[in-house]
Formats: sequence, structure tokens, C-alpha cells
Amino acid sequence: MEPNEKELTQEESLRIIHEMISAAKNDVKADAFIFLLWGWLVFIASIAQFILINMDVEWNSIPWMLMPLGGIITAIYVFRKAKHEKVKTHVSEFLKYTWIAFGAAMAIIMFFHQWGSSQILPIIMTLYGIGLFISGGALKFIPLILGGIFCWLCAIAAFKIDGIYQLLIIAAAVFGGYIVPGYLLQMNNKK
Amino acid sequence: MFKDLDPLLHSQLRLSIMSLLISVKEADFSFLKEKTAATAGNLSVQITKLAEADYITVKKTFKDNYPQTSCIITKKGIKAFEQYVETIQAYIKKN
Repeated sequence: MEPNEKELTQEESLRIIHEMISAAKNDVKADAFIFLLWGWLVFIASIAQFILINMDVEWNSIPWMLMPLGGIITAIYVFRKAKHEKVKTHVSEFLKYTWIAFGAAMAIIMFFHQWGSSQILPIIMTLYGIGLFISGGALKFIPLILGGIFCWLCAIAAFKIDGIYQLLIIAAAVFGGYIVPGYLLQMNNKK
Repeated sequence: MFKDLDPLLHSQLRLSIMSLLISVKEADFSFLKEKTAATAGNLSVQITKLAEADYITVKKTFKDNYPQTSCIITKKGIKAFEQYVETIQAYIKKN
């Protein structure tokens, strides 16, 4: 107790604790930018490849070159944001490790899978579902949870369908899993 | 009343700092200043007191050539905070 401070009552103590814990909790905001960036990149790449295949273009997988670009933009964005971060919450740390694990799993699959396998896109969609579902649960943001479930449903559909139509399914998966929840998150953060 | 309460925590600003730090993994000085609405001088004094009691750890780093202070609650601090809350709850139950 400071000499110039008045005695706190039990109600005041509890009010301070409650107010400060709420203030810290409200600071947890997921970044919509990264969801939208990857949502749009994968959406554009998959639709573009679908069109190129239908046009009989040999180098139809060229649109996927957008992915390393997405990686570079993400790395720069995350690095710059971390520099100005005032607080590290338990949720933000948990999400960071979740998405690092997701990135590592994606990298392993991308580098070591058998080329031409029809299983690759459904597996990627299953991974999308894991990242989105966990993020939605940690942030208590229902659209991300639903987005994760939607990606899993798309994965099931893609396992059943071979060939180029898997590209349309992955476009639908990122639209429902990343783009729509991403814009809803952006609106939610502005509130 | 409140004789058993930890005098270090039983202060408006120090209790505010501890309540914020128990909710997050790490917070920098500007975050604590913004949330507590305290003056930089007062906040700095109270942070030093909490650090001297080993309730928090203070990390001093440089970001873009500007000094930055960030605080993390210690295990001792968590225990003291929990004890403080339990004591308050005991008072409420009694009354």
C-alpha cells in the first residue's frame, strides 16, 4: 500500500482484476490479411490452372508459382508486424505455432509427394481444415470453425473425384474456408 | 480487514499490471501504459517494485533503435496473484 493511495476494497480489487483481464483478452485479434491473401492466391491459381488445362496449355501448373510469392509476402508481413507488436497473448502464440506446424506439414507434402498423385489436393484441404478449425476454436470465431469443416467436406468430395475437377473443389474450399471467413474477420476486427 | 493480503499486490496500479500480465504471455511498456492509463513515471516505479520482488521479469531490448521494455509474469508472481485472489474470495465468502 502506498502512503498516498487509498485502501482498496474487495469489490474494487475484483473490479480491477476483472477489467484488466477483459482489456487484455479483447486485444486478441487474428489478422484477416493472411487468410485473405492465401485464400485469393489459391483461388486464382486453381481456377487459372483449370482454365489452362481446358485450353490444352502444356505449362498449366504455372499459376501455382504464386505460392512462393505468397510465402515471401507472408514472411515480410509477419516480420514487420512482429516489430510493432505491443503484446504477445497466449492465444496469439498458440496460433503462431499452429500455423508454423501447418506450413511445415504443407512443405513436407509439397516437396516429397509423388507427382501426379490425385490424393495431394484432398490432403491439402484436410490440412486447411485443421488450421482453420483450431484457429476458429482458439479465437472463438465461428466462421473460421465452419470454414474448417467446409474444407473437410471439400476434401471428402475431392477424394471421391479424380482429375481436374479437384481444382474447382479446392477453389470452393478456399472461398468458403479462407475468403468468406477472412472478410467476416476483417469486419469483426473493425467493430 | 485485508490484513492477509499481499501489500505488494494490494495497490491499484500494481494489481492492474499483474492482472494484465497474468492474461498475456508478454506485454511491453506501452501496452501496460495504454491499458492502465497510468503515467509513464508511476508505471515505471511500480514495474520496478514488482520486478524487485521477482513477481515479474523485465526485458530490455531495442526495436528500430528505440529502447523497449517488456514484462513477463514469473511463477512466483502467478502464485502470489492466485493467493491474492483466493484471499479476496475468502473475505467475500465470510461477509
